Order: sequence, then C-alpha cells, then structure tokens
Amino acid sequence: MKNEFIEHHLNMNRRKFLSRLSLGVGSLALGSLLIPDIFGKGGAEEAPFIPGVPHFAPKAKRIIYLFQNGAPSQLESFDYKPKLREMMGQELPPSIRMGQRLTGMTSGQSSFPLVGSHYDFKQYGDSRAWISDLFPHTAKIVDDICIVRSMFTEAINHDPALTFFQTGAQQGNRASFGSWMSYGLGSENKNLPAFCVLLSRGKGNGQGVYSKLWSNGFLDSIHQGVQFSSGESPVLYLNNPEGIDMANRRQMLDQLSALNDQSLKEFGDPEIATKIQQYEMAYRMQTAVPELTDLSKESDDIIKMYGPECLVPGTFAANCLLARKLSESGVRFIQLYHQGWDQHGNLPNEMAGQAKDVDRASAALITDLKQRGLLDETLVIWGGEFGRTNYCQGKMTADNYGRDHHPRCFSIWMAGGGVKPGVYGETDEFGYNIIKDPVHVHDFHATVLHLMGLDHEKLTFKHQGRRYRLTDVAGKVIPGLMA
Amino acid sequence: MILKQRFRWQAAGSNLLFAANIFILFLLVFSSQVVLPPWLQVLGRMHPLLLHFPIVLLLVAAILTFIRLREPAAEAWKQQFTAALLLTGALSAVVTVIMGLFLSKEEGYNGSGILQWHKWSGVGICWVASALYWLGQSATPRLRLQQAGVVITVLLLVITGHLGADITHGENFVMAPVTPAGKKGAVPFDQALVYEHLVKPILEEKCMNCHNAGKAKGELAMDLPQQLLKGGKSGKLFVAGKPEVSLLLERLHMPLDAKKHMPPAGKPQLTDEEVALLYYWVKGGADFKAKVAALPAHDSLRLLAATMLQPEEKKEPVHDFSAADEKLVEKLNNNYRVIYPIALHAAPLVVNCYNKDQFNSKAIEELLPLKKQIIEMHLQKMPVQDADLKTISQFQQLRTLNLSFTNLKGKTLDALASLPHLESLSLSGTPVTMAELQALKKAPALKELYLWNTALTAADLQQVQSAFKQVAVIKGFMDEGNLLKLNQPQLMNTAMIFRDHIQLLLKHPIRGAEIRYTTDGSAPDSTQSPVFKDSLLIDKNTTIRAIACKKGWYASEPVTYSFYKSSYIPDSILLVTQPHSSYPGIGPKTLIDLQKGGVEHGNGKWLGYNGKPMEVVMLFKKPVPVQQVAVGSLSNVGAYIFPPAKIEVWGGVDAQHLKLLKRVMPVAGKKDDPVTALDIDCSFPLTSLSCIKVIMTPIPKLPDWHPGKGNPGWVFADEIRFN
Repeated sequence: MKNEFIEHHLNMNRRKFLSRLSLGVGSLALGSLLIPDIFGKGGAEEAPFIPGVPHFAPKAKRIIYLFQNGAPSQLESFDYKPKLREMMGQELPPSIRMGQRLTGMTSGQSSFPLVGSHYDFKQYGDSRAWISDLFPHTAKIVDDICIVRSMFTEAINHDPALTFFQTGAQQGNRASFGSWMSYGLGSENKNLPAFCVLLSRGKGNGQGVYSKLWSNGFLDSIHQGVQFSSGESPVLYLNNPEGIDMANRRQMLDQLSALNDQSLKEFGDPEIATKIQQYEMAYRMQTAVPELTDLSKESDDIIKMYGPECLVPGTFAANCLLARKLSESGVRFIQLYHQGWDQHGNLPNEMAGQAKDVDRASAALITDLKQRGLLDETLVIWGGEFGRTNYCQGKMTADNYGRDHHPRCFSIWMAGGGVKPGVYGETDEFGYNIIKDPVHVHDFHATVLHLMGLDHEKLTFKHQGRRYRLTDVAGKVIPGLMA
Repeated sequence: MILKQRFRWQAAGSNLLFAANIFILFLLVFSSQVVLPPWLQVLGRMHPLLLHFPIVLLLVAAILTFIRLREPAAEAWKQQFTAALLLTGALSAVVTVIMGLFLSKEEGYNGSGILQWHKWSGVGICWVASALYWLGQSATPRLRLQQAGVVITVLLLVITGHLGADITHGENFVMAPVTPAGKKGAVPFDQALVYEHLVKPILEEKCMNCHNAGKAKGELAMDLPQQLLKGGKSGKLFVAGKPEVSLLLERLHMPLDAKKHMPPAGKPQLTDEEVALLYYWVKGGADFKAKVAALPAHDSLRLLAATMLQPEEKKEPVHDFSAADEKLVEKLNNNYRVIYPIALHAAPLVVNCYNKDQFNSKAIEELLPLKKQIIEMHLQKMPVQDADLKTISQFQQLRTLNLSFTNLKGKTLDALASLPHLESLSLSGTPVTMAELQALKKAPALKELYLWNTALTAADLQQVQSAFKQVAVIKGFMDEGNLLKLNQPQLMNTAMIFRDHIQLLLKHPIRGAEIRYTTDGSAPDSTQSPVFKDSLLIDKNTTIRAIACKKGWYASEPVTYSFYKSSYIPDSILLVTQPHSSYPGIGPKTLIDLQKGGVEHGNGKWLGYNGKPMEVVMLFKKPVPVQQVAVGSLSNVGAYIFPPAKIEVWGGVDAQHLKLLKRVMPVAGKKDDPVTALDIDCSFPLTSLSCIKVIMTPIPKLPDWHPGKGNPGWVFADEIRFN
C-alpha cells in the first residue's frame, strides 16, 4: 500500500516534470506563432469609445442623404450600356445571369428580354462621365460628384434592402445610420436634433418608408431621427398649446425637470436624463425651427436655382432647400426620402417624372452648398437601395417596359466632404455584374464614416453582451472614393 | 618537428588537384570555344548541389587551422586531419568550379556582372585552397601565411556564396525582407514614376530571378529598359501600345499548365492587379519616364496605381500650438455657442454660433482666452458689427472666417488683413464695396473670398478677381438666363361643394407671382385674363382655370378646379348596402360632407363597393324641389375602379312611395383612361321630394382586356349633390 503511494508520487518525478514542462512551453511557443499577438496586446482592454468627438480630423462634418426610395434604374441614369440597345429584345445570356436569384415577380417569366435605355446618354465634365438625358442638371455638376457605378447589396426586396442601407442590417432592429452619426459625433447645434428626416413623394410607383428607418435602435433615444413634416407645424407637438406662452412653458419645464431629476436620482435610469435633455431641446427648438422652416425669405436666385417647387412644402425641392438650411445650422445628418422609384412597369414615363422631381433640386443643393463654402464639409449622397434588371419585366413594347429589382450592381453618387469627384467602378457591358472595384453597402458605410473622421471598427456600442457596429463585422474603407 | 604522416590516398588526391586546376585554367582560357554535350549539362546542373561541400569542408579546415592542441600527438593528428580536409575541400571546390563553368555555358547565363564576379571568386577559392594545401605539405610550414590564406579562403567563400545566391534567387535576396526600400508603396503617389515604382518592382519580384543580367533565361534580361526593349530569344517583349500582341502579356495569360506560361508553374505568380498594371503600361506605350501623377485623371493605370502606391502626400495642416484647457472650453460652450476640437486629442478649435437673438459682441470677446487655438469661426447670420472685427483680428490662428449675412457694413475689413493664416473669408450677403475690399489685399494667406449677394456687380466681381490673383473669388449661382416655368397656383379651399356661395382662394408660393384665371372654360391668358385678387366669390357651379405669371418666368401650366353647388343637404342619410371594409370613408356622411374625394381612392374620402351596388337613402324633413342629382364617382381602371355600370335615382315623399326618376348608364371605362374624378349628372323634371334613393351599380365583370378580367369591378362614391 505504501509502495503504491510512493509510486503515485513518483508519477511526477523531475524527469517527467521537465518533459511535460517542455511540452507546455512548446505549445505556448506554437500558440504565439499561430496568433502573433496572443501575449502582446491580448488581455488589455482596448481604450473605451468616447462618443461625440471624431477619432481623427474629419473631411466632412455633416451628411445630407438624398435617398431615392424604390430603387431608381441605373440603366436610365448613370450606367451607360449601349450594348443593351443593340441587343434589344434578345434573351439575357445565361453566362451573364449565372443562375443568380430573381425576385418572385420575374422568376416565373419564361423569357428575359434585354432592354436598352429609352433615353440617350451624353458625356459631361472633365471625367467624361456618361449621364442620361433625364438628369440635365446633375450633368452640369458632374465635376463635383463621384458616380459610383459598382455598388452592390445583399437584399433583393425593398424593405430589407432599405433597412440594410439605413442600419447596416436587413432585419431592422439596429440603430440607423443617422443615429450612429449622432452618437459618434454628437450635435453641433444644441438647438436642433442631430438627425432630421424629410419625406417627399413622386408620382411613380412608390414604396413605403417607416419610422424604423430612423430609429435609434439600441442607442440612447436622443439619437433618434426627428421627422419634419410638410404641414403647418413641421415638427409635431413642438408649438405651445393655445394660451401658453414661452414664460409659462419655461416654468412648466423647470418644475418638470426638477421632478425628473428626483426620479433620476432615485432610479438612475439613463433614459430619464435623456428625457430631460429632450424637453430642453424641444424648448430651444421652438425658436430655432420656425426660423429654419420659413422659406419665404429665400432670394429669387435661390428659388430659381432649386426651381419654383422649392416653395411648395413637402416636395423634394423644398426638402432639399430645407436640408441645406438645416445643414447650415449644424444638423449632423439629414435624411431625405423621395418615394416613387419602383418602376416595374411603365418605366420610361414614370422615371421621367421622378427624375424631373429630383434633378434640378439635387444639383441646386450641391451648387448652393458650394457657394456657401459648405460643400467641403458636407457630404451629399444620392441613391437608392438597389438597382434594376437589364431585362424587361412584363410586356415590352417599342417605347415601354419595366425593370425588376437587381441587387448585383447599381449606381449612386456622392459629392463634397472629401469625396474624390469622377467615376468609380465598372459593370459588364450588359450592366448585370460588376467587373471592377465593387463597393458593398458595408464598404460604403465604412468609407462614409471615415470621411466623417470615425473609424468604423471603433464606432461601437455594447448591447446585450456584444459590441455592435454600423458595419457589423465587415466593411472596408475604399481609398479610391476619397480625395 | 612534427612528423608528417600522410594518408595513402593523399598523393593521388594531390595529383588530381593539380590536374583539375590545369583543366580549370584550360576551361577559362578556351571558354568561348567549348561546346557542351548534354550529359555534361547534367553534371553542370549539379553545381548548386555540390557547392555545399567545399563550403563546409573548407570552413572546418579553416577553424582547425586556428586551433592549437597542447598534446603534441593530438596536434600532429589534427594537422594531418586538417590537411586531409583541406585537400578534400580543395578537390570538391575544383569539381564545383568545373561544374559551375559547365552550367554557365547553358543559355540564359550571360557572361556579365554578377556571374563574372561569382566565377572569378569561385576560381579564386580553388586556387587559394590548393595553394594552402601545398603550402601545408611543404617542409617548412609557415603558420602565419597559412592563417592568412585561410582567412582569404573564408572571405572568398562568403563572397562567392552570396553572389551565387544573387544569381539563383535574385539580387539582395537575403536582406530583402528587412530592406525598407524593397517594400511596396513607399513612394508617394505624386512622386511615383510608372516604370520605376510600379512596373519594375513587379518584374523584380516575379521575373528577374531568372531574367537578370547574370542569368538571362531565354536570353532575356529585365534589369534595364534597354534590355526590356531588346527582348529575348523569342523576340521582342512587347509592342508599345498593343498589349494584345505583346509576348510579355501572352506568356502571362497562358494557362498555368502551359509549358511557356510565365512565371513557370511553381514560382510565385503575378496577381490580377499586377497583370492589369503591365497590360495598361504596355497599352499606354510602355513609357519608361512617365509620372503617375501626369496620367489623365481617369486613366486605368492611374487608378490602379492609386491602390498600389502610398496616397499622395497630403499637406495636412500642421498646428504648432498646444491644446487649450478642456475645462475652459467646456465653460465657454453653451447652447448657442459651440466650441469643439477638430478631432479627439487635437488642439485646434472650431466655433459655431447659433440663434441671432442670443448673439452679441460679448459672444466673441469671451472667446479671447482661446485665441491661440481657434482656427475656424462660423458666424453666418449673426448680428456681427463692424466694430467686432477688431476683436476677431486678435484670433491670430484663424483659418476660416464666415461672416456671410451678418450686419457688417465693411468699414473695418482692414482689421482682418493682419490675420496671418486666414485662408477663407465669407462676406456674402453683406454690403461690402470694391474700395473696402482693397484692404484685404494685404491678407497674406487668403485663398478663398465669398462675395456673392453683395453690393458688387458682376463687373465688379470680375475686377476683384483680377485684383486678387491668388484668391478664388466665389461669385455664387449665376442665372444662365434660361427662363423657368412657374409652378401652378395652389387652391387653399378644402371644400369643393358649396350650398349658396363660396370664397374661392388661390395662392402662389412665389412672391410677386400673378394669378390669372377664366371661368368660362377657355384657356387663361397671361395678359388678357383677369388677375385673381385675394378671393373670388362664386355662387353657381363653376370651373375655374388659372395660371401663374411673373416677369422673368414662363407662365405655369393651367390648373383647373371645379366647384359644385349643392342647394340642399339631406337631414339624414342611410346606407342600405355597406361599403367594402377597406374603403369605409367616414361612413354615410362621406356622401354629404361637401368634400370632394380627389383622385386618390385610398385617402379615406371615398366609399368603395366591390361586386355589389351602393344603395343609399337620403331624407329631407321638408320636401325640396329637385331637378338634378349629381353623383361623384371615380375612374381608375388600373386599380380595378370603373365608372358605374348604371345609376338609378328614385324619389318620392317617403321611403315606401318611391318611383324611378332617372336611370343613367355612364360611358364604360376604357383601357388607357386616365385617373379621373367623375361627376355624373342625373337630371329629371323638377319634382318635390323628401326621400331620395340612389343605387349605383358596379360593372359585374371586368372586361377581357383587363389583367383582372372576370373579377367583379369596383365602384367608388364620394359626394351626392341636389339642385
């Protein structure tokens, strides 16, 4: 018995100890070879994220995002494909489609006839970019914009695609782009929300926009987008009720905030602090907003630039003008949505109307920002959630056709704020697949954040045990888009 | 004296060594005449294998030469052993050199540069090692001389080995990973040359191991532009401008398993970008001097280069001042004056002011403690006075100053001329004049001047631009003289149906726009038609057509609004059949609320029926004389909404005693009908009625041309009028 006990002890003698030790040290060494910084940086917590200040000197301070909701066709706007006209009515070659998925709307079609643009294209500017005749005013500012012809996304239907563009995820429970910006950079003007939303609607076939697109998600609710409406009171519930004057309101707010302070001390819920801040901001907005939304003092030149529609509230032109004023007043992120770009049928007619709605005002916004010296610090983005197919959906006639959803390539443009003007990326001659410099939605987000002075990998928020990013776990900054 | 013992074979070895040295001499002298049989080539190719023997043997011999053993017997044995080592080493060196000379006869090894040096140093090893051996064998050993010889041998070994490695692996193979110059993209974009910094590194990395001056396989060397131009055994390497017919690209594009594919299978291949880069370089004329920055902005080569090279060296502004006290910045920040650093941990500060009611001169004065850090001040639309410029001129670090649409008169602009760094100044929307601007000529760093919407005329601005040569004068949006079309007048009324009379209100959003109208259905004219003033009273069914006109604009498209009189409003209304649950409007009231439903069927102002008729009964407390019942309906064939198939109007003194007054069959909907609101007139001889029933029947089946053919049609109703 005793012997066994001693033998048991002998199981670990010096020789065994050393040989095992060497094994252990060896595996440590192997580990460090495989993961170089396993002993270096590991363990130490990375520096906490400080919201409200850019990580490095930004190129752009503010964003105006002219979202073309419904997905405008790239083939009638910025991606010139003469081949499609040549091959009008011929079948889309399977070697181009490569069996990629289609939406339920055309997957049942027995034939996929190619259809060329109804509208002619011409070359403009130093970059000799091809732009369709539907966008004559955009063509005039072509040297200020960067046309990205190689955007692609993962979603094939409106809502997921839109949600993907606006929140970095298709499911719609994340913080939106503007909310991230508000969180990351804070508000410049404390009398206005950092994130404003303006809606307009064209006559074309439309798709809805929902408030989830400007939701703060898991971020503090102060980062939520505030919708400005076209009615008598642009911001709902902002005006004092009848019989209440500013002094009254002030008194009420003071007392309310005293109560709120008390419960904040008691419960420590940060949402209470947010609430107090929001009441205070709403009070200051009462004077800031009417001044901003009053378009009647704009000079004739400005009206001519944006077009007469800019004085009709609720139009895209009016929203562009308002966006300029908001941006000038330090609103960090202004999100416009123009609905009506979903041309499954009757594309040539509907698209002409849609283009007419937005072309002049979009170009005017760039010109106006430029003459105020603001284009350098404001990033303007124009584009939809995906592209449209090169083949016809439904019946094709000599001058009428439709196009289905196409996520594999589409065009957007960006201007100002450190963007390199020109044309970026290329699609094949059928306008179906990207052949050069693809830009994924995550890459687009990463690049825009970079222009705003934020590292997309550092702009994080910890929620339910993991750190969230606008770019999720992907995305790379694209140097070719930046000046 | 140590006895010299010899191994038995040493004499033979010594002789062999001598003979071999002679043979080397022969090979060297008659190298040009020698033609190599293939089997010797095999031997020659074993040169890289054998060369390790002389290296090791001679090195060990060298070490032993420097070791002295105390035991004489051991020392003797050591010397003998060293001699034997030296002999084998020298012999192997001789064989290696012979093989090397054979190898150098093969194609691709031209006799220049590194190869020459390698050859002579290799031969040098042979001779020095042989000499050392014979020296050791001589009766009087000279230790010093031997040691010196050993050192020389080792040196030669190192040199030869290194040169040999350069031939097989390319120049600077060993040190390349740590040589910073070897790293890609070290050259900034604006200084890079296409050949030197883009093309050559690719060739160096992927081709020049075999195609260099020392080892020009296929008689192709790539070190120098001349050599590239010359090409190799198979001909010219490329035709400038024609990559399609250029050998270089042909070889690169061959399938990997093709015999002539380059680089050969197993060697590092070119990436797609690298191939593309060579393609565009050849396509662009294979220029050896071109600068990347000189390429056109959207040249493929330039774009490709941008991703490979370091970005252009940005002249990022350098700020050589220390950061301000964070607490002070915090204290000066308020809701209407925001001060923030340009980035995290950066010293420069930016100031923005908001809300003109909260702004006064003190708002600037209070910032003076931060005058060393503030580089931007955005004061647009604030009531900044001329006197404030004096305060502002103390902010010596200012780069950007926005004073547009402020209360400046321009009298004190000279104060700003002293700002040493001021680059961008905006005076738009202020009444500055030419004379006042002259003061700014002295501003040393000025680059941008915003002057639109000032007292300056277009000619003045031109003059400013020529006076300020280094400054970009921003003149703002210039109306190109193209006339624009006005938008349509807007109707402010909500009700389109009136009982006795109505005040018609038309408005136009643009100041000074005139509205002209007609009520007789004719097209309004911008000069003849009456001008709409404030409001218009109408008391009968009226269709007004109106246009907006303004000087400097084209008149708008006409807009048409119809107003309908409804003399009586029923006291009660009852829907006998219920509308579809999706389009309930606001219940039966929808039909008599004096609101037209417009053309949007989904706006809640319509009652929609599908597959069944609308049947509605309306009662008047007192009998009313009626000769017309008009029913508002909708036609939108695309949305399956058709004009009703028929409308029947029944009337009488009460619900039990109704008789048919009128039956109307409206025109059926056709294929490309536009979306229109209908007002279907049902007139009959004047009758006194207190109960009226209207039955509106949808078409039973959609016609065959419609996508929803066979389905029951929809019918929509908004307003029923009685006259």
